[in-house]
Amino acid sequence: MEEVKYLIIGNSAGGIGAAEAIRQVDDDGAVGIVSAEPYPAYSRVRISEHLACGCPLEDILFRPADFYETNDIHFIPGRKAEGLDAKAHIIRLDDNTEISWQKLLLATGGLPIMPPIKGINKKGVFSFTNLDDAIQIDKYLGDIGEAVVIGGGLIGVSATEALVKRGVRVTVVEMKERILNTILDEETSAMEAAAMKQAGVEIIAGSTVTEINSDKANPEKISSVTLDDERVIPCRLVIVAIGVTPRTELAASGGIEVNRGISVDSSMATSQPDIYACGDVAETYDFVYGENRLNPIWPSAYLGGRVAGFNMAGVPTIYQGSTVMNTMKYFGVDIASAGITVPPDDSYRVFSHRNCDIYRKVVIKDNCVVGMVFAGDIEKSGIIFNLIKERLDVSQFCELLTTDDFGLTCLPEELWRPQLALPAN
Amino acid sequence: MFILKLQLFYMKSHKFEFKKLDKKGERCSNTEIGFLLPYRLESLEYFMKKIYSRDEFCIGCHLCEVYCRLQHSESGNLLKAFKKEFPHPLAAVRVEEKGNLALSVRCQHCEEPLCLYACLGGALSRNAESDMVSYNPVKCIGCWSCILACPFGAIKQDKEQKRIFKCDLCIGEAMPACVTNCPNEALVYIDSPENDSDRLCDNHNQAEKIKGGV
Repeated sequence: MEEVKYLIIGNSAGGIGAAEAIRQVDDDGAVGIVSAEPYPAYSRVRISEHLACGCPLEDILFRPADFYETNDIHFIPGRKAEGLDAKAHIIRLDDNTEISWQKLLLATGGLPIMPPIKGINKKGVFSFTNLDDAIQIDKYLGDIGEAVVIGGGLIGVSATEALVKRGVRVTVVEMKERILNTILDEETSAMEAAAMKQAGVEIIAGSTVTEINSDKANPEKISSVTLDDERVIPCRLVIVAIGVTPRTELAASGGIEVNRGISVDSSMATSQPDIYACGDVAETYDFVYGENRLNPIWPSAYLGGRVAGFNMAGVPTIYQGSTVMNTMKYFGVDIASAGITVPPDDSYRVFSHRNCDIYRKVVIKDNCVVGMVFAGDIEKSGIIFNLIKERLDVSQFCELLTTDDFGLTCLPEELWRPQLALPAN
Repeated sequence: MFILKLQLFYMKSHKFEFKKLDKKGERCSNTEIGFLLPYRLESLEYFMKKIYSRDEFCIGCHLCEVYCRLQHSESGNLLKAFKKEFPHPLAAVRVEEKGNLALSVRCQHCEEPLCLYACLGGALSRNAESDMVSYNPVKCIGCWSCILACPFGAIKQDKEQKRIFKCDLCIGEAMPACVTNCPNEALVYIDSPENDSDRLCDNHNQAEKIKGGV
């Protein structure tokens, strides 16, 4: 049986973040990374480029191809971890080999949700979360002229953009009243929708697909979808992008406490000793909501992985938390958003500013910034995001947050002076 | 760099030696990074040369922006850089003004670079030689993820080329162009923020030398 000191299940942001942290403090301990996919660490966000313009694997790697070699990491690609014995510290892979470990990280990510729609198992229905999805869609696409994307979230819009670049006419079917409704407010959502319509995309909001249909003559191939209002949209390709669900089955098999995701504490440790979790699979601390939540975004996966890695290597480190944060550039609209973008009740104060394509909005509760959306000019969005993270009292300068010349100089000195300036004589 | 290597050697020979952070340090890490290291590793101590602003001397003349843009232009000609070149060269530095306060802001090549951790394409990396946070324009996909992560708003959007632009410390030059050309020596390029008069003196002499040579 193979033995490693640190074993990481998962090879994206969280797993790599942990491996890099471990190597920063421990040059010698054996590190193993198991990946269900056969590829070195690539950027999932960039699978749309593979679909849009055939961007090869080498171009979408987010670490150099020799990453595993230079960091002395035993990389086990194309193997799924199937069994976990937490007491014996053993992982069993799908080829029945076993690996024993001293510290384990579960960074297994999420699985695309496939709703129980009639005909969802037909050929021509795809999810869009990993490179194999993009490769398969690319192979299937051929001369297909019309597609339906179910779900107007980030993955749906990303898939739509790629298909449009391939000359496909796309109809997006979104269940809620507007696209990107979980991360954007009405204004920015409308800006994005307008840009999509400009590019020839049809958006049907407030509807769901009830059935995926085939021709009688050719039952193998998709011919259309039926909506809940009986409308029929002709298409020969369907992409399902309604979200992902944490892949917790491995954790559950090892008796680890699982809520919606794997529950972790502030050191990213799970309920079982020596086992840590991070990324899309874990419920981590959200500093806006003040509770543990699923935050399936890249930066919190990497940071969570980094904290887990330090703790696994014996360096006590605390995860400060994260919140939902997204940036996008789909169809040429630059948007940055974080936290609560639509106040749920009137106990929140909102400051906003709009000048043509430039839009800024900040949401404040109890004198702290709890959310923001910037569009057009987003260069200073990071300063606002840092205010959210710091939970700073902004009551003295809240009107300035959305102005054109907002900057660090509007903030209390202690936020910038220690890093940027020399102490005055 | 030598000191860093020495520290790493020290680390290896002593296994894990921790130094407790003082109150100020804790505050720093809280602001700068996404998590708290209650102990700071010796190896993580930071010896990289950085550009610091002396806002008490900054008059908000924006010349750091001008010379940064010139330095990163194709032509190296001021008029062409501002009027003719396409894609337009950008400045990686921004001068903020509020009342009497003027502050020149650029990438601080942070010890815990949140931009690098947020980078979706692998375009940002820690340069092994210079220790700075460098970026590879070929790998940058313009997803702006780093921009939202940077607490200083120090990363620029290059909208023409659909990618980011940030401070590279004018790599290859003896001193960053903004520091060399600051008329009031409100910018210094030194390896520690402590108010060390010798270092400031070195900075002054070197800036003068470079200016004299132009």
